[in-house]
Amino acid sequence: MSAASTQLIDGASGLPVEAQLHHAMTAKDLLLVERVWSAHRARLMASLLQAGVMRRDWPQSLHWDWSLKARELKLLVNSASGLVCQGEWQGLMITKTQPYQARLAGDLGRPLVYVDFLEVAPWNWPIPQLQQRARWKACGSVLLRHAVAQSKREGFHGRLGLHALPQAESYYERCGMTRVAVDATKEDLAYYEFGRNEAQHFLEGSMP
Amino acid sequence: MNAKRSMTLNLTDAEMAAVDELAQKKELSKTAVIRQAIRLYQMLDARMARGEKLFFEDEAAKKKAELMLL
Amino acid sequence: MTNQDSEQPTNHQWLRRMADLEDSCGSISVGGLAQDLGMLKARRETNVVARTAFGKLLELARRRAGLGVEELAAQAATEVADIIQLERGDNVDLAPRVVFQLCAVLHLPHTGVMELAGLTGHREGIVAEAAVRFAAQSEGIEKLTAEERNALQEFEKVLAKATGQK
Repeated sequence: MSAASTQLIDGASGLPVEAQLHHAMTAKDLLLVERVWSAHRARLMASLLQAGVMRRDWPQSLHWDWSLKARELKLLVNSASGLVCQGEWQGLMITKTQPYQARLAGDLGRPLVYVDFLEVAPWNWPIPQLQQRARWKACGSVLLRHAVAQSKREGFHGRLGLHALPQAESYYERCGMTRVAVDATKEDLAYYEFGRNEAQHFLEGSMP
Repeated sequence: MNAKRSMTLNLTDAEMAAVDELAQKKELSKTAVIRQAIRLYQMLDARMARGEKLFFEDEAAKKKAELMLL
Repeated sequence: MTNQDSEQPTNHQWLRRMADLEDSCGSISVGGLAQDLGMLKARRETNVVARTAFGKLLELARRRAGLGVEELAAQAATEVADIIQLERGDNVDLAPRVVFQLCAVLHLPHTGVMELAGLTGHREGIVAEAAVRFAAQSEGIEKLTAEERNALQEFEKVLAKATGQK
């Protein structure tokens, strides 16, 4: 596992902090992260129950247990990256270079990087009902930026696709991704795509 | 990122033409075409080794055929 | 390597803008993998027989425990409306946690019940078959009759067996 230095925003001070972006994570790394995150998720769940928060308002990613998928990481199409800040895993991402293809009209059938999984640590979720604010911010965006970079490095020109959970749709829309379809084969999740220009605007922070 | 190694690839004219055509159609370099091909081959092989089957479906003609990978 | 620009450290202005965006949107979760793992399946319709059996089981176990709907909801930390819908056999978007809580309060074997509620993989056979028998037998009358009590006990045995096999 190798790492590059990057930055996040400290939720308390609003100031940038140093972080490391690890790529080529192994199944073992993922299992270790899942162990820490799942314990924290269980505590969050208990707090939500206690606070009487309606289930439809719970974070939709409360039930991740993707350690099941670990063996697939051995394949060349998959790669896993994670963000570490102050010794803790703050966000994780799994991307695929196959078999998904671009669906936007101008790019139809061309290769792209598909984001299969993207999640930040449960302590980085803003949950207003519990007065929880993100401890470290911009984790998801730094990982998404890394995925666009991967797409460019692969020669895919920044093209990127993903299925957002319903609560995350507005984030990807505001990143400038195009909502292409709602996929019945993906439990009716909405599919979003970056074309090369939109991806460049995202990197530059010049999206509409 | 990852260190890369080189190899010389001997292709027939027809194979080279196919690589060129794919590269143009997919907006990829020739190296990227070959790399995509290797990844796809590895993924299909791994899934079929687990006992999964690969199908091609033609919705218009309502045809579905299993693809054999040897 | 091409396009070095995207690999360079992010600038602070970009970071702050994205931090605010994440804050206002609340979630960035991507679900392709969740779909692959079947983790979104709780939203999918469970079959009618299983739902009816689950509803009956819940109702009889609740009455056996001498609990009203509101008391059960309070003890299982869930909502009254959910209990009513569940007992009626409606298709309710159930979190595994709720089923777990209900089982704890009503002393039901949770693995078998989870399977019945469609939250874990179906194994055709024992549970499904017993669910059909149970759904067909039980009637929703006020007090547990001897037959109802027997039907409930028989069904619980099958559910417990399913739990033991896991």
